[in-house]
Amino acid sequence: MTSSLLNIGLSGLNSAQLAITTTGNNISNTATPGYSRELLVLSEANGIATGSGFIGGGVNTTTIQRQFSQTLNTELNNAQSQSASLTSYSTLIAQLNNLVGDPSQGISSAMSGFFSGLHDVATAANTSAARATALSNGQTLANLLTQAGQQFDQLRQNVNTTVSSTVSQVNDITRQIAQLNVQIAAATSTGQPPNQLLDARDAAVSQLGQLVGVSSIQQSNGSVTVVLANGEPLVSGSQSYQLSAVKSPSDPTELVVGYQQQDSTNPSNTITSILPDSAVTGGSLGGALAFRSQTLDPAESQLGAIATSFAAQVNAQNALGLDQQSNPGGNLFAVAAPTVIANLNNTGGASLTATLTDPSSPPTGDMKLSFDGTNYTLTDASTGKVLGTAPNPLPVPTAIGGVSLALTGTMAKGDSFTIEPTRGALNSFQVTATNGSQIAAASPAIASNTSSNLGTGKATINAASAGFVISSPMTLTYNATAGGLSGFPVGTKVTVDSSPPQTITIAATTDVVPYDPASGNTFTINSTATPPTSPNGISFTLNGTPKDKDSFTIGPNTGGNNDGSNVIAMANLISSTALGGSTLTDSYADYVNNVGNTASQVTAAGTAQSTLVSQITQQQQSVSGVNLDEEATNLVMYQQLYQANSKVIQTADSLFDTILQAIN
Amino acid sequence: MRIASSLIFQNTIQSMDNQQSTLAQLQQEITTNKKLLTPADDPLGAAQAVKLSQSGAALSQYASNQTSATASLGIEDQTLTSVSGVLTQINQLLGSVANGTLNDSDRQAQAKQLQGLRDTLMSLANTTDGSGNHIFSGFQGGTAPFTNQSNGGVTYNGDTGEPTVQIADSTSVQTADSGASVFLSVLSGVAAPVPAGAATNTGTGTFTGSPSVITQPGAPGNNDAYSITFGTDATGASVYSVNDTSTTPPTSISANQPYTAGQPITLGTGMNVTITGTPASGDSFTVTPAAQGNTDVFATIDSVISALQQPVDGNQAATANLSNVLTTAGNELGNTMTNVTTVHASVGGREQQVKAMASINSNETLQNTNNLANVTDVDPATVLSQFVLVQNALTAAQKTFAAASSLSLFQVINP
Repeated sequence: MTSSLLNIGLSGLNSAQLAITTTGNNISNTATPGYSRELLVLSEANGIATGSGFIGGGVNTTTIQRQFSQTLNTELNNAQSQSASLTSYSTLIAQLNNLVGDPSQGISSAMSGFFSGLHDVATAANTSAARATALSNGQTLANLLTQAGQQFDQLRQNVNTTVSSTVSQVNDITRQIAQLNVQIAAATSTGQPPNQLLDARDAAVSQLGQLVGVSSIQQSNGSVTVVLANGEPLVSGSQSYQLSAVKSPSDPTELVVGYQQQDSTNPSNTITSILPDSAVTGGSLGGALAFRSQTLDPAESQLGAIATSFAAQVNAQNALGLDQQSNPGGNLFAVAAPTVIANLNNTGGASLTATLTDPSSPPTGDMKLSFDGTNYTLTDASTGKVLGTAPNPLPVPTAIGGVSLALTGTMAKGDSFTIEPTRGALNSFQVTATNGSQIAAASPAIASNTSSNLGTGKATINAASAGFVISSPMTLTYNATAGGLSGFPVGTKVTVDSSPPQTITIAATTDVVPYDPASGNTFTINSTATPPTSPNGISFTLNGTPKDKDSFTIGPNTGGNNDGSNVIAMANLISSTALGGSTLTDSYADYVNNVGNTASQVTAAGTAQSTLVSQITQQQQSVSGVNLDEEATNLVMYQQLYQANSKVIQTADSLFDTILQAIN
Repeated sequence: MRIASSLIFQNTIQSMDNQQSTLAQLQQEITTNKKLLTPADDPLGAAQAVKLSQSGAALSQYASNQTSATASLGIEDQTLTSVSGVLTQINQLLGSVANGTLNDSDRQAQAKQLQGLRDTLMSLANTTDGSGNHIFSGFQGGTAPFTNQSNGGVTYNGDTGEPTVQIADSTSVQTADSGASVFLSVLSGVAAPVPAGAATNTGTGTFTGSPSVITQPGAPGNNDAYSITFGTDATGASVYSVNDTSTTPPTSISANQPYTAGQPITLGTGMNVTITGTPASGDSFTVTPAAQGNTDVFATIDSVISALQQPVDGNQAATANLSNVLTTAGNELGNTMTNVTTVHASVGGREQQVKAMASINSNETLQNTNNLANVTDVDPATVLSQFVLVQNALTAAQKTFAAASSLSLFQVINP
């Protein structure tokens, strides 16, 4: 009886001591990350059957239980993984956003500055100062564009750094998880859960989730299997699989994630397979890859397209005029042709060159040319949409999707090429003109009315077309009876914008091209010879009512270096909608808007996600977190339990004493 | 719900972090007076700002173009005022020369005076602008437009180019006129036909009054050239024949009409001309459409100077020739003056156009600046009140943390 009471008191004393230890452990780990509150699980000990009934046998300490909800933890891991992805995306895009900076400054303002400078050339076409200023404005724009190109490269480098450093951290953590799995499996077999190891393992899984999106599956032996979004395992029991940062076969400037697996035919070797971006979502790695594919590459291509179109439009207009030395204008700016990258895994010896079919409105997205053994297919690299197919051998030239392709050698089945139409434009953008005199300010031709004309007819020259030639003047005479102009040189064809337009091939200088004094007409003269001879590509407008025999002279603009009509046309390119139906400024505004939208969306999503994380954390912590007030109460309770049980032992002792004294 | 003690601290840190970063952002907005510092601040506004600043740059360029156009047109305007003045003086001089009371030496003096005026006109025609460009040489700014020919008249070295400046999105203005269109042209369809007597005339026939009269404006024949040839009929009386010389061979209008001094001679259907005096047989006169005759004002003046230098005192035929030269010159000068006045009026019109555009431009610039400011600039009242709001929230967070952190059971119990 007394011994049973002693045992009962002792069991209570032991339990109270364990409870106080557990509470103390909780208090000491209040601020430990990844710690789950522990609780002592008590149960009543088996009773002893007596005639008077079952007598209690004290208290049993069943186990020390970890307060943990797998559901909440998984939810929290996923939320944190998504949050880490958005944080990484948002950090990188903030750099791009800052690079764009004040939208009213920078590239857009340099572009307006260049076009404004051209107006100053127009007002003083024969002063070299205005021309030099215009050219130096062009240089400013070129500097800003190449600078932007370098910053894009820097950002790409940052992503590469993130990929390689994250991959090595992922490898460290997966190794740790595998080791912990082994220890947990061993400890679990003893019958009690290894709470500390489980905490460490779950913390490692959570940490891994913040690097790359994973899901984990609990196994019956307490270990976890961790898999990537596409189901490839990173940790399976005691085995961890390594990732590596490797050059993308389709674009060696970018690092992608490789997955290392044992070669099934030769177990001492590992094979590295490239993980698609879709397999690496979530976590800071997923965020960085998403930034690169969804924002960085498209943004650089978009800005590159603006630069390409700018150079093409200005060069084309410059070619339609005469420079200060009265020579046809050359190129003022240069940008590189599309970048073509042969896939590193290509087995055929083919090489591909690509040129833009319309540089003033280039395609922006990256493309992929692949060969399936019978046909060539050009696809949009990001969406996978088929842009066009071509038979084998590839016809010369093949123009698909805005690029003209020329293949030398033969592609093997499965070979591919990546074509980046405008991504290299920023880095290669440069001013090729060395002197302001190379700006072709003047029109190539000039129109004049003969002073003895009696009518009110007035001829004005229009912009020339590409490939214009005019070496000698021609005199056109109005024939009132025939109702038109004659005197066009033999060997030309003249197009008049009558309704409907007519094209008349001039067989004799007496051939009459109709003119309607009521509405005025525009005449375009082209040569029928190959190569074209003078005059070619020249256009003029006649207005008013000429009298019979009135004449007009269209001739070369010799020495007209104060003429700024072509440079005005060049300045007006600022409102040209040649770039996919919108102006250069509007396209730049789109670019700014895209970067800004993505940046603010990602930031907003990041803020929302971190709110979600803190809400789930609160729920998870309500299960696993330590509340000091609760622990204080428990401490008091267990202290009293300890005191009470001591009293039970004391009572048993005094009962025993009483009996001893009675016997004595 | 159980609250983990560590969360109380973490939440406090997070909320104070957020409020402090908002405060920093607001403070930056207040100090820079800009709410749009990067595109992410307002993506749509950023796109608008790009377009608005480009329009702003264009408007400011147009303003500068307008200034430059006003300057160019101003120089031309002033020059043409002087040109009109000189032409008026020449016209007055021609009038005084026609006065028969002058003798040869007076005319020599007048010739000298006329030469002086011609030099002035020449230097006006070769005027340069501030940057050394000749304003009347078309696109050939560096070339002096007019040089004298050895036998009278001038050579035009410029071209017919019309420099233009863009002063608004779709408006360009011509900032100069070619010298040929000012000094070597007449207004087609408006200029009066020019009568002339042949230099070889031996009689005393001269034009009188307003020599050629258009009786029917717009008659097709008014654009034709005519010759009037005098002869004698069988009785020895003076007769004249009129031919339309604009056709080849000339078309006869009338033949061997009896001549009466001072009676109008009909030319074609729409014009007549009056000749007085006694033309000798073989004398001839012409009436030429202004555009087809001499349109060079310098050649006109040169013809007068050379005529004034010829002695005519006592020689009736020579006096009659001088009178005819003066009539021709007066007519040509009149046509030139009409032309210069028209060009001058058009320059004035263009100046008005630039001025009107400048006023529209400055309104647009104001509007544009305003729009840009709305997109990019801070509204101080809004931002400052936001700042105070966040500041209060931060203070509240700090105070509640102080209160909450002291709520620990351990401070109360004594286990």
